[in-house]
Amino acid sequence: MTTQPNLAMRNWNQRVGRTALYLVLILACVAYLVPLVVMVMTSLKTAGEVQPGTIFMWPENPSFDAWIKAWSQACIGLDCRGIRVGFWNSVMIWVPSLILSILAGAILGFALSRWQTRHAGLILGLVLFGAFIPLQVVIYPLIKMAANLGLYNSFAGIVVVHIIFGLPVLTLIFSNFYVGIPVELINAARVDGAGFFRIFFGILLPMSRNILIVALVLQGTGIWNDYIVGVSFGTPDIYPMTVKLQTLVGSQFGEKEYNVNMAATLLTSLPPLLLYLVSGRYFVRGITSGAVKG
Amino acid sequence: MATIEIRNLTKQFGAVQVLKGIDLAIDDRDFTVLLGPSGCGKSTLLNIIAGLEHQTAGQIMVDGTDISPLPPDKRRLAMVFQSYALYPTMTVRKNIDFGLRVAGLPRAEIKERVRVTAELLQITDLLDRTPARLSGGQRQRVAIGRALARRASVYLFDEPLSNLDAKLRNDMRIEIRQLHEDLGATAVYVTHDQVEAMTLATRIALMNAGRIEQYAEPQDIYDRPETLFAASFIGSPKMNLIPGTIRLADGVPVFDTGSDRISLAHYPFRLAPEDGMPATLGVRPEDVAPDAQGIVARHRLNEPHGADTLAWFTYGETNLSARLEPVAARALGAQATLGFNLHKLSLFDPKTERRL
Ligand SMILES: Nc1ncnc2c1ncn2[C@@H]1O[C@H](COP(=O)(O)OP(=O)(O)O)[C@@H](O)[C@H]1O
Ligand SMILES: [Mg+2]
Repeated sequence: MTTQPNLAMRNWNQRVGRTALYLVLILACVAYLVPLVVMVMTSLKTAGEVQPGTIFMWPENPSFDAWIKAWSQACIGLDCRGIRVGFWNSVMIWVPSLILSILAGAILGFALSRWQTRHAGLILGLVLFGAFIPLQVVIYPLIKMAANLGLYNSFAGIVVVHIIFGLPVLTLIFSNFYVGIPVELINAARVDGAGFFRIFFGILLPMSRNILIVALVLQGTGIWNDYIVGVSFGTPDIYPMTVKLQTLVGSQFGEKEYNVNMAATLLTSLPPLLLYLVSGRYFVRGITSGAVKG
Repeated sequence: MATIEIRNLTKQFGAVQVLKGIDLAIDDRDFTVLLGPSGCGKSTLLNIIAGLEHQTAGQIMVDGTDISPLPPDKRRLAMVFQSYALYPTMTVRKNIDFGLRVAGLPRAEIKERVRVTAELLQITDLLDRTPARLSGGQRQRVAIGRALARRASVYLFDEPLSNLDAKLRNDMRIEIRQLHEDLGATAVYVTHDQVEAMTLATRIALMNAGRIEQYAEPQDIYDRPETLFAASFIGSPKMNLIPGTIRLADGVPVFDTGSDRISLAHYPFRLAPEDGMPATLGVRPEDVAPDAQGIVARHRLNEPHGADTLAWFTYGETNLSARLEPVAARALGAQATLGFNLHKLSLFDPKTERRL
């Protein structure tokens, strides 16, 4: 009988704890969501509606005019073709950078973890070291090198830089994943006569779906959101969407079209968002599973 | 068709010498079992034969040619691994024919080989499944099938049965033996399980700490262990080992335990024994029985096994076991006089640990 009050007490404590937890979660949600809601609302307003002091008001006649303008008519510098130019530039950078950097990271990760590579430990150490070098430190020499190689102001140049800077983290992710794959599996394939690339493409890559998605999300958001590489290695012709957006939003000329700016910003952030939505489930699985047997 | 000859093979991992000079000549169609405790270098030796690791020094000759420079797939061998090592994203069919596809065999031939192999191992129904949807026993069959489809002249097995439960292990053991007889290939089979070794091997290579202690037919190793290690590793329970001294009484050797004397008149000494030589006497539990004459030991307990009973004794500081008829074991008192089968004794030099 003496346990009765105790039990009640515990229930009470639990309920307080729960309430506090939910309160914190709700606050966090609000903190993240409010700016987003404001942005969406503003982007749906007409130019006349956007005035100081009204940002929390619903748009009177919601319309996608600002979105259309941002996409295809807004002037960025002297170029009045909208943010879409930047979008397609970004796609031109994004797709090859993603494919090549993930492939390179996976191959290097395999070579350093599950292949009898000489000095694998040392190389992995150097790669790890590379992961900690901030981009800003090496960007100037890199620009010089790119210029000497004729890669400055080309998509190829930007792609190469993305591959180089993605490599350390990707190599670590993949070598960590492949260490979890039994050596016997590789050995069986070697007895079967398969070489490095046959084993990689025929056996390991098909086993790597979850970790590939992790890499895709990491690199996908990283490269899409990149500003500094794009702005340093390109000129307006090939600026990625982020740089175009910055130019648009930061423009000092004329009246600020907040609705257009908001629409352009939302458009720019859409691809990574879609990436998360499509792959979120696998992303979590890949992050948590480490080594998957099947 | 293949003979394997390993000559003075060593392997070093950094500062650690894992194989310390292996010499082994395996006859064509032999089923050689590499037996030894965990960590003694069995897998390393097998991997070197397969070409998956490189030896530090020494040669591996197959049919008289040194295969050391060849990559694994050029060595005409196939291998079955402990973890089965099936390709997880491929169906059973693809698992079996992967090596054949890599080798670029004609399609019709690949198809035929898969069909024959699957029928032989009774896995035809499983061909379109992935490994995740197979039981342990089925996976093992597929792994063996993958090896067989290669039509190798040497088959290597690295503890292929150790992940199976006891019943399945017994069944597979018989099946592997049957397969070997049917195929007539040379096999090298790694295990730490002496029962597996005794039942499968035509010859056992007993390994310890990177060396081969003895290479002989199973019955030979059992009856005439070459070293103290062999005597205590093979047999369950192990051979009884009693320390003592060799005495010559009128030129006839006897073994003096300190309190008793055992005749060595029938022992085939390799070198003439000397008086006062320290020695260790070995005798199998089934060669010990209560007798009118012999050593006097204290009976501790009986361990019934159904067909027979192990009776445990203490003699001085040593434990002795005797494999007895259950009735005879039950009749034992606190003290027993034990006689040894004098034709089946082993004698070792305690210093060199080798058979005398
Ligand atoms: N790649 C390696 N690097 C360092 N040591 C190793 C390596 N492979 C095996 N060893 C060591 O060699 C010894 C023998 O290993 P192994 O051949 O696997 O033994 P077994 O198969 O008889 O159990 C062990 O002590 C093991 O730790
Ligand atoms: Mg082993």
